[in-house]
Amino acid sequence: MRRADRIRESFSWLWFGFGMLYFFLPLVATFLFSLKGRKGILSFAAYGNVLADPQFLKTFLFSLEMAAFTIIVGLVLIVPTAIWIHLKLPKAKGLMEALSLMPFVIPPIVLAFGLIKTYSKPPFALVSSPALLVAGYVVVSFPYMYRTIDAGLRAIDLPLLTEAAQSLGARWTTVLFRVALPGMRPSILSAVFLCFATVIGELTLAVILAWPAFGPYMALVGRDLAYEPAALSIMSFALTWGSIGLMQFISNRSHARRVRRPRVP
Amino acid sequence: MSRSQALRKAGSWLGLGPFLCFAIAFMILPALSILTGSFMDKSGVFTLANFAHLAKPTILSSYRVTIELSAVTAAIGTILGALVSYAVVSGGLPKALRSFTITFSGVASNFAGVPLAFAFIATLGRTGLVTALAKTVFGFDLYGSGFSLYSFWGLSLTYVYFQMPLMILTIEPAIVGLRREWREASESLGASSGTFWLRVGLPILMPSLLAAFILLFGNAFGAYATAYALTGGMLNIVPILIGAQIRGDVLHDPNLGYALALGMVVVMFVAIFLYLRLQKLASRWQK
Amino acid sequence: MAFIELHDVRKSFGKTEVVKDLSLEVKKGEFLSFLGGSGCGKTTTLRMIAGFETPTSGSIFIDGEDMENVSPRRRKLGMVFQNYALFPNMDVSGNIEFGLRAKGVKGKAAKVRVAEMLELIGMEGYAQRYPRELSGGQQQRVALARAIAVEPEALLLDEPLSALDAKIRQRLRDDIRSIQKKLGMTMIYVTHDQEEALSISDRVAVMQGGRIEQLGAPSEIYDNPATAFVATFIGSLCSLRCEVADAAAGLLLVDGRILRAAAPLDAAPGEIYSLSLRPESITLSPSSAEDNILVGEVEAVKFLGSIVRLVVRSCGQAVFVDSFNDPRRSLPEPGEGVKLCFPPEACHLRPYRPAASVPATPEEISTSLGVWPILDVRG
Repeated sequence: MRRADRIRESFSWLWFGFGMLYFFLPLVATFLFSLKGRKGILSFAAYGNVLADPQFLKTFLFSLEMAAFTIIVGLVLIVPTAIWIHLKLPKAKGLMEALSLMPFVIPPIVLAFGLIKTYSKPPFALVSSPALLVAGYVVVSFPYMYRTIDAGLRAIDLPLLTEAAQSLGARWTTVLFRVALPGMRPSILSAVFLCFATVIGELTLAVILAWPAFGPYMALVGRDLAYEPAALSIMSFALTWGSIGLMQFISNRSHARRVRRPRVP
Repeated sequence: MSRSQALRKAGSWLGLGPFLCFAIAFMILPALSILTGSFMDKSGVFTLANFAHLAKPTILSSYRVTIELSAVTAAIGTILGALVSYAVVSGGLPKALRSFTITFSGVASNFAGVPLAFAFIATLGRTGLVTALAKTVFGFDLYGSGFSLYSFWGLSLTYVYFQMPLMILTIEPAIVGLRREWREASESLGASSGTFWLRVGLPILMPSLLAAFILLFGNAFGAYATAYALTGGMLNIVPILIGAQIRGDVLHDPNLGYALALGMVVVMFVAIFLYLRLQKLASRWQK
Repeated sequence: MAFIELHDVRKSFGKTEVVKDLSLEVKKGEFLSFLGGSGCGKTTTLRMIAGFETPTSGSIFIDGEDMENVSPRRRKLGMVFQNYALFPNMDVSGNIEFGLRAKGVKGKAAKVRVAEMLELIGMEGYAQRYPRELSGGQQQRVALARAIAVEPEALLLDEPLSALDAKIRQRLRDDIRSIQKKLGMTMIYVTHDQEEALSISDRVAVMQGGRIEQLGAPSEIYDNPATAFVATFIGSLCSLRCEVADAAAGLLLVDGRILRAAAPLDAAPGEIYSLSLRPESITLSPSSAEDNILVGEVEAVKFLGSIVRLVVRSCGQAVFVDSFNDPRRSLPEPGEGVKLCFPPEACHLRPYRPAASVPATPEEISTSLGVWPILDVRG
């Protein structure tokens, strides 16, 4: 190999190594920390304490429920809209792009503020209803969900397939259920996992809108206890990693375009 | 246009109806309410007083700190992320490392908020792993020398944990677009590696690097959860301040909160505007 | 005098050997082309000469100096790429100046040289344009000027015209050749287009599977293909199976007729030979008494622009007969019987060895020559 290439490769290993160190050191540290539940020996006591805490289950289930609703509402809103845009209204793509940037311009803290202000008085007194939280979650996850589903539609070139199907005599219901949705399955699944991971770990909206979700629970635990937060952190990371892993596995299996998960545009 | 054509056109926009209703109800209206609220006082009368309050020293200092925090973490994230991204894409490393890094960055860029704060407490907190290692292995007292995880620099280090992967993801397409042939042409023309980077490589990457920097800046500027979890709402940065207004803490003044929120939205808007412009410029050169 | 020498150069990527045992001498001031299909190793060889790849074994000498451990920077070889590789952040003059500035030539001297280059490529007035404002052909010209500006010892061109339209390609290749002649510069040119290679090169190296199948002047390659691959890659060739009637007299038996070869054959009586003919060497009426004559039936008439190609079935094979498109002449119709006339000199003869697969279409039939040993029939 050329000397110049060798030098470049050494530097690459250096930076890669540094990057990996930065990523993994905190994880390793957290894991080790979480094993310190019992004095003197390494044990999973902290995990045990967490799992035994009734609040853990309560808040986790609550967040799970919220995630489920968010996913359903999100899919019901986004999937038909995305299909509609791809088939009938390509001009609206720009509008959707702009809208998907809004949650970045309006960060969750500001959104929470605005939601409270808008919906604290009748006739739309939604503040005390979890529906508002779900709505907020849908807004926060919408950019990622939309991007994923849009990418999936672009990958299967829906307009082309639809034309082909229609030229073969298919009705629009056939096109929808036997062409569009099956083709979108990997991207829909990806969107589901993305949404799930986002909602489970979400803190800002839950805290501001004052709901007993998993995020605020974790923050509370962190305030009082020493090793349990570390355990929670590891569990949360494992959950996110697991979701993403499943997402990648599914999208790889169906040869759909690999969807990366950018936080923002 | 004929009547039926016009009707059909209107009809196709109708298909967006449900989604647009949702967007208006839960994105645009709240945003507008912030806008209007910032121009009103407690009794609903139009006023510019809230913006005057923004000029108070504590508020100004909070903006200053937030901007510093965002700029510093964006800068560090940009440089480190670009180097790592370059290393795995064009640095001659095995291809498997590249997809691993991208996947991992996807996860890490979202590992923010409470779990991240805990992870860094376990690493760099008073009884954290690295703190202990520094003392036992290197004899270096981290906290004794003035460092604290719960300070500006501690928070910055924590932010970099999700800034760097975001950078890696964002800059990857630009690095892929940095054609090998440019480098080879430069070499064959007798230029050194340094000359290439100075006169070709960095100029070409600059729009994307700037765009990514601005993205990271906005990302940090609007971040609430990590700071909240790490400092318990104690650090004086704008998101925390806004949160305090809502949650009825000592400074409870919602209208001030709206003004603060509006200020934040303006910053984010400018950021995203610059980001999009720079991306467009960058794509022109990738032809 | 050999300017660039390759001695037993091999290149493997992992387990795949891409260049096998390649030896070559390039003379100073010559225009040499590497011609072959994709994967034949021509680009890899060029990149090894440039220094962007290191040979797995073997050595490369430029002007008598061993190039091992010499970086591309120091080799003083210019390079022109298929996708132009112009620096998008600089205008035309900035691109052309780039190498000059790297050498320390600045200011007035650089500007003068840039103007010279622009004149050479016929693009005066384009100095301030940016690459994205130029067409493909223009970009490639600028790339050429950029490489030549630093006065390299030789220029390496990696399929420079592949990305361009046919008409532009023709114009540009002639321009490249005329620039080369004007400057007396050594050029090594990689292409998969045989017309390109044949029309502008001093010598052509036909490559396949990492080896040079034949190296020679274009006319030599065309008229005397050394191997089956070269014969089929360059131009079209039709083959007929025939039997040796009289080796000493060079007589062959085909389809009940006696044909005469240009020279005696080194063969046993009755041995099966493969007779190959270039389509343009066959006429429909004899042009001299020496001509060989076969008969056949017209299967198809193909209009190829300046050439009209008749597909004639003769001796159980498809034979192509090419003639210039002459509107005054009437062409035979499909189904008509015709004569195929060709001089003894047009016969390319090889011992016949059957091909592995059974041909199906006329095109396949004409290109399945079997395996040819490397012989020169003219002795």
